[in-house]
Amino acid sequence: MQDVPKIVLKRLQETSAPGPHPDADLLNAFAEQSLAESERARVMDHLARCSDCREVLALSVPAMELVAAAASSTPASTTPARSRWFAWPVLRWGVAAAGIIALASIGVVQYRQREKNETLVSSLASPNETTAAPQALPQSPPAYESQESVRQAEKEKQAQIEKQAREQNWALSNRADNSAENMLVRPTNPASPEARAMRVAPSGTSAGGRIRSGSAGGAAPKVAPSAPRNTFAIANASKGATPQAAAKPAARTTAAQSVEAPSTSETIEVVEPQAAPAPASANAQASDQLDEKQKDLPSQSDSSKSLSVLKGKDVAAAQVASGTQRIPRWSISADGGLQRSLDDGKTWLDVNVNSELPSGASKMAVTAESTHAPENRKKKVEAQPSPNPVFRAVSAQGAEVWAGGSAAMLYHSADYGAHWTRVLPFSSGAALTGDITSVEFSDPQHGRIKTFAGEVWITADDGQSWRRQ
Amino acid sequence: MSATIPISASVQSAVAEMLAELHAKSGCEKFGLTRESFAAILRAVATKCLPAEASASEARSFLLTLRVDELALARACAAGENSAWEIFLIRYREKLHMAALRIAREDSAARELADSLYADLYGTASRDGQRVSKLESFTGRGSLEGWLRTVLAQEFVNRYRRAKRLVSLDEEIEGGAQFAAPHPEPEASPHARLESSIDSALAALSSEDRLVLAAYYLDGRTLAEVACMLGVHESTISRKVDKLAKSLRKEIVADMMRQGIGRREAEEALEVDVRDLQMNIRRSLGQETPSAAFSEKQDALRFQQKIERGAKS
Repeated sequence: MQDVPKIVLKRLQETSAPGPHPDADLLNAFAEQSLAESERARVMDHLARCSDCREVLALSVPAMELVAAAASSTPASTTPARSRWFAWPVLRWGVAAAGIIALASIGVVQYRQREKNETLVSSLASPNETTAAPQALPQSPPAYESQESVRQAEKEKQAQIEKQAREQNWALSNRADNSAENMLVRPTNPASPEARAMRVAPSGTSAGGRIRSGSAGGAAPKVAPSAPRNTFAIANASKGATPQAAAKPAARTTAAQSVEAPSTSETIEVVEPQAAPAPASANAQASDQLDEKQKDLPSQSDSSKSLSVLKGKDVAAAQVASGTQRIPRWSISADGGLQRSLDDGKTWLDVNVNSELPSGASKMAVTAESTHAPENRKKKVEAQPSPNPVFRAVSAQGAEVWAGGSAAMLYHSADYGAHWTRVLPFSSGAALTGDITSVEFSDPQHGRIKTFAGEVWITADDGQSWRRQ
Repeated sequence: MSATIPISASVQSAVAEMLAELHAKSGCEKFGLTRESFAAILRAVATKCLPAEASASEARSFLLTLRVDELALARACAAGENSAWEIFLIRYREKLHMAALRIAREDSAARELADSLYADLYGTASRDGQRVSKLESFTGRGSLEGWLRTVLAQEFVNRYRRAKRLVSLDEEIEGGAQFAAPHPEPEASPHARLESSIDSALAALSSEDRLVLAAYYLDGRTLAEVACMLGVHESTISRKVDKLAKSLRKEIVADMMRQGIGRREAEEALEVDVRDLQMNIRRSLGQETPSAAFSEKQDALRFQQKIERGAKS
């Protein structure tokens, strides 16, 4: 309670003595709130100056507990009757609680926003990257990945990233070896859209072009040319020039999932419908996918050629393209979760290796032709991804990340952890079993894995083939 | 009483209009009061409590707020109706004793207080040969029980005041009251400006605010007691006291600043202890008139020392 200066109290005490004292009847009527306003004011004025009458009044009030009950049952006449919900103590705590809730929600929103911004920043590659050499694409090993479903959250995430990128009129961030794309996105590129497509086409056909498709079912709505948001930067680059530009979104799959990327991650795909038989011949599944594409494309566009620009769904994949980005750090949490830090260990985010896998169909590394001995080749295995892998060891060499854990869980990412593949090393007909206790890669090609049982598995070709010691 | 005060026409008409209803409500037949005498009581009460210019509707609403049953009982007791006294004692004897005990805080004092009240209620004093009962002054605006408590409290405060006046001289000497400084003369205080600022700030307060401040800070009442006095919730008083203390200080400082005193100086002046203002007077009094007892002691000491020296030599 605030103190009143003593000198003020002294002056208050010395105020002039009032006139005649009110009688008991008046004082009682005052105490019981049954006086008219004017009379009450008169008595109040007297009481303010007369300590004797104040004492009489104080002594005459009934026992405290009775009064307390009376006071709570009869609202004070001097204060406006208010609902208990609007009483000050309630309001005070209510306001405090509301403030805390507001702060907490702001904090959560900010945190999420920051998280998104971080991934966005990492997804925006340096413009220098777009000038990279164009010869990498044909070198891509043939591979095919099918994706059946994409999670809604991931779609939204990517959509937002794409939108941001388009607003900044940025070319697609990409890796250096995705040069075809880089050429396309340069506005100054003199090549006509047809020429670009022609340049791209052989790469797709001759090399068996890596084809990525999003959800087969989900492809149709996404290929609608009326969806300009999906045109991405490449459409801006060749804006106004071409019917092909309109066809680009048709072929584009926005929700590209992670694909097996044996050497380096790839975020851009160029698809030419005419080239479809080539990959189809390589892989039956691929032909199915391409048939779908072929059906879709003519119906959406007059163009016989179309470009499919695919961007990795995980923005961290684009990190690969950015030479300016920091190398992620990797760690295993106490409960066996895989964690990645993009800011030199300041913050750690859990990485879900399964979210990168297509649901229902696991993929097992590479089945393509290999120069290695067939018996040592890593086999394609149909295995369900572990719902909750417990990791014991992680090893990262640049973009190559290997994570091993219990029950022979070995996951590999070639793009800084954006996309993961479960790898099951085979050697001489025997597969790696048991818990992996150590994963060591001295360089992207050479690595060794130790298991709990003491087995040591060695690869000298980035996990393409394994040898048991 | 009613014979001396003219009764307004509005009161007359209101009483006549509502007499039947109020009479039935009062149940005055039980106490031996006739309808006419009850009407006369109502007219007297309305005339006493209502302003002369009150309209008939105001008189009606006033009459409706009266506790007519308790009014009838009190007036019947005042008239010496035995049946009324029986009911009164049954209803209020215990309550009176409890209230007296609460006020006096001691059983014998409480009994004495209650007994004196009974004497007043019955009317030992007489006027013009007529017994005058204190119950005559009850108007029924509040409860009879509350009125009785208030009368007890008034009696207690009057007794305490009388007892305070009758302090014996010996007690005063024991308490050192004979050394009390005379009332300080209203000299030109160096804090005159401060006091004028304080007075103007206090004058600006509403009477309720002053009452709250005085009851809490001067009388030392608790927040709950102040709240009971005003019939409001304790938290209301708590907020009010806090707000008043803050605003009072602010107002006084602002007023002093308007008079050309710096803020810091004004705040320091406010914090000065009131006892410091009288310190000089006390000190000077002490120096000018050393106490006789002290000088006598000194003389006796010197005398004793002389005797001791003589004995040694």
